[in-house]
Amino acid sequence: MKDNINKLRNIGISAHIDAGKTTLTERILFYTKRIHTIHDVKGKDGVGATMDFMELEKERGITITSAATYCKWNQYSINIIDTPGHVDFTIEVERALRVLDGGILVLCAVGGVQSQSITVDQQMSRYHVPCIAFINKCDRNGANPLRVKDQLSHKLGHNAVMLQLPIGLEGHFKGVVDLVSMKAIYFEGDNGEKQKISEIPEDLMSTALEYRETLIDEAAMFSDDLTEAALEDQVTEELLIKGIRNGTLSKKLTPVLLGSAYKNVGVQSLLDAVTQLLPNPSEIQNHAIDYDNNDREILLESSPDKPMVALAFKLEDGPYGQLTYIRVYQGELNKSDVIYNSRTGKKVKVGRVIRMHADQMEDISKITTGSIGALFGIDCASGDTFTSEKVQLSMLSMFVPDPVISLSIKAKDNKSEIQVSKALTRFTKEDPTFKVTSNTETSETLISGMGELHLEVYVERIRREYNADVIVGKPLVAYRETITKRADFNYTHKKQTGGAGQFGRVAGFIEPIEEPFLFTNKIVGGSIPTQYISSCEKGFQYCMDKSPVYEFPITGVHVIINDGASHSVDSSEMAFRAAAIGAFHEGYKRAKPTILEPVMKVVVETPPEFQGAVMSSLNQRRGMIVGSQDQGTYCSIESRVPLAEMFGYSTVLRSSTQGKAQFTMEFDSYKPVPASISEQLKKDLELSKKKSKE
Amino acid sequence: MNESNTNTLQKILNTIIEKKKDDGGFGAVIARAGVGKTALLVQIALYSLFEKKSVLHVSLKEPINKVCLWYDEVLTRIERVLKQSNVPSDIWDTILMHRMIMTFGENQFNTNTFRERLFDLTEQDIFYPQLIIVDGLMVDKENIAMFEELKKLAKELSVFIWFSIRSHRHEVSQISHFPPSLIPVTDLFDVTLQVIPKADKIDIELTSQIHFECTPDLLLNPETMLIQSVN
Repeated sequence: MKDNINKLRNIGISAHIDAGKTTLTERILFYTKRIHTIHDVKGKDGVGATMDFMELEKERGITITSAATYCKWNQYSINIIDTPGHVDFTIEVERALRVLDGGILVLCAVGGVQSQSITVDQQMSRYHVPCIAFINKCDRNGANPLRVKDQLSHKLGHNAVMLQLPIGLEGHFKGVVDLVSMKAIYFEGDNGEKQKISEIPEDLMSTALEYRETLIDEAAMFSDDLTEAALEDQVTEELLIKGIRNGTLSKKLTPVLLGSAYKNVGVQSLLDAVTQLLPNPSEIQNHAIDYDNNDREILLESSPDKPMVALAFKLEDGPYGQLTYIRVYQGELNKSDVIYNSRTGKKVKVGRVIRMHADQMEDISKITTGSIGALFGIDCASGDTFTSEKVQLSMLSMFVPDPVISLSIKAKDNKSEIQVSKALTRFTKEDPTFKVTSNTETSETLISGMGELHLEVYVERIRREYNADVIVGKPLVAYRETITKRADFNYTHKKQTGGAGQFGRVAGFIEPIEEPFLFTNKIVGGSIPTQYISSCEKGFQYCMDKSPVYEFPITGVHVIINDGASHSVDSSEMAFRAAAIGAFHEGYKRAKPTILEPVMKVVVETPPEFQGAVMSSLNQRRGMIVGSQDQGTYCSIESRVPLAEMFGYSTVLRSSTQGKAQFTMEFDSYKPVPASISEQLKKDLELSKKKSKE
Repeated sequence: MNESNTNTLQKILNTIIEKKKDDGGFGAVIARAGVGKTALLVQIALYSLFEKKSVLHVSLKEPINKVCLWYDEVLTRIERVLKQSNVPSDIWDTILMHRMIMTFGENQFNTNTFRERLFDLTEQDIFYPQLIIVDGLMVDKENIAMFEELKKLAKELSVFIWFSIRSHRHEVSQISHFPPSLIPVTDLFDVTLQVIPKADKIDIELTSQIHFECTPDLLLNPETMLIQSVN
């Protein structure tokens, strides 16, 4: 069993969009004999890559859902999660990283470290995932892996060290020099499946010796045995690998490998590095929160004899019901076991246990400790923890960002309505960043997510997978409101129309604050009896959901109450709640409210000749350009642009740069909208009110 | 450092920039590696930003986010020292509105590319710099022509350019304490701020072609890395 876990690797492949993750995964599956033919992303055969199993993924050439797959290499079991490269799907990347023990950071030999590489690197750091780097596309024009390695050090702060050197570059890229074994490796055969190991070409020898020296120096920092061996000039392959491994596991060293997945060069060496340098599950510390023990953090042991603890990290609804991807951290999960969902406290019986291979599945009898598998027919939400005993353990929750964009969606007919409802229930369970709300006034269903593409993909899935006809509204920006100055309020709620009366007076002031909401009670002398204070707070809190001016949710308000009055008979919790609502409305209008809009950090990567056009396109969208970074073959422009102006930007960018530029967008902050825009919003609001009345 | 000597310093620097910008004025912060050239340049840029003047910060060594961090850091120090009394309340918005960062990868910077990028900004009404900061451009034999070209560009745009110039301990010129590599281009510069570490303090020597009635003695506060004048 111990041997089993030592030979298990859970790895993820993270990279900038179009760096070649899916192609690389496809080659890994081919060399590990999980597939027998190679299909490329947007390939001429029209089949599409194996990992992109959704129709939409194949069409767009992007990987949307991280498909888990299993393969074997040199007696090692490897679970691979392929992750999307687009920022809109970041939650998928976050979820994958949560359950992984090691990562491959794929970088493009031409593009180098791009904006999305920085995001995925930050995500890897957040979950302390040790990684190795693979510089792909060394066969492309303009490939410069050594420059990319330097960028890895300077831009991402990695202690990057070359493990290989290229033999030729661009069109002449033939193979790699392995600096550990000091051999040249060539990849021959129709699909590069035959590795030919030979002597290092003479012209590369001195450079190889120089880089090996650096490699030994760096690795020696993490192994005393290697330091001693280096001093005595007796460095063995085994010692060197041990030193590199120690450095990699401590996240203080990033070994860099090279290749071209598309041209079938370097993938087998990468697999060797995965087995030799990345950690097995028992080498990673995983914690859970023990709710029975004062929320204490406890360390989980990768032992099959311990009680089972597992995390459901991904849900998918397939033709045979809900499929729950699960990672077992402690103990084992067997078919027919009874397990507990620690969030709901419910007992569940495990039915089928399977191992996924993209869209194909293989039945297994158990998921061993540290491994990843999937269960059928388990009702749960993404992020739920399962345990074998009724213990209150929960794996640490994953970081889930708030959605920034909404879209109204309506089924065209009754049949579609049922399908849409099914689809939305499934998507909200699968993706915590995808939210569904309904507008009671317009009886519209609103879907919210992390970006235009994120929502577009879900709408397309509703159409294709559920065969439902839907009408989609214009994207809506999640505006907020805040106050800009202090304002007093003094409101009396009085009602005497038969029966028991209502009386409550609330006085104080509101002022701007950094936090979303704060309530301070400064009542002295019992002018508002203590039992009614919480009703006042509830009343104020209630007002934050919808402003009395523009009807957007309010943020950044500090409410201070310092006076009031009550009546011995007519005062009640309800009366003070109503008084607080009236008081808030009174104060809010005087506090100079303003609308805030989400501003996005937009990074465009473009060939330098289009820099002017890109800047102009951002400027036209009320964008504020922070700066430009010129890297010779491409340049990246960083800006802050209001989300409301970014709709349809990908089309504009494509046409103004001959399709050569791409952009990433993520939420930055909320900023006040200009007066003209708030006027327009006010008009739109009045118009929509009129329409809904009609 | 207190409010009044910051004002004096700010006034001196802004006067130099105002008087010399039409001639394509050049200024240099000269110091050894690690003594605080970037912090001083950012401080100079912030003085202009306080007056809502547009600053183009060109960095040949740091990426955009690192340059932004320098501004955050130096401004926080200034705010702490001045207790926010002399710093405009909307300074963060002003910085975003009036600052543009341009960074260039190793060996990617040349006058033609820079001119092209600059005209991309001005011709499309995106940004008109009133002060340019160039951090990390080496002054050596090969680059003399580049400095001359930049002087022409500065004159053409009526803009003042501040440079960081790295000096070396072993190669101080006998005449002016300037690094010998700077001597061939000294004439191009209208003002220099030279950082001279001494046993117990760090002096800043201001050399200017403009005469001031009262030029304060300047020091670099090693705690804050800000320039301060001695009362």
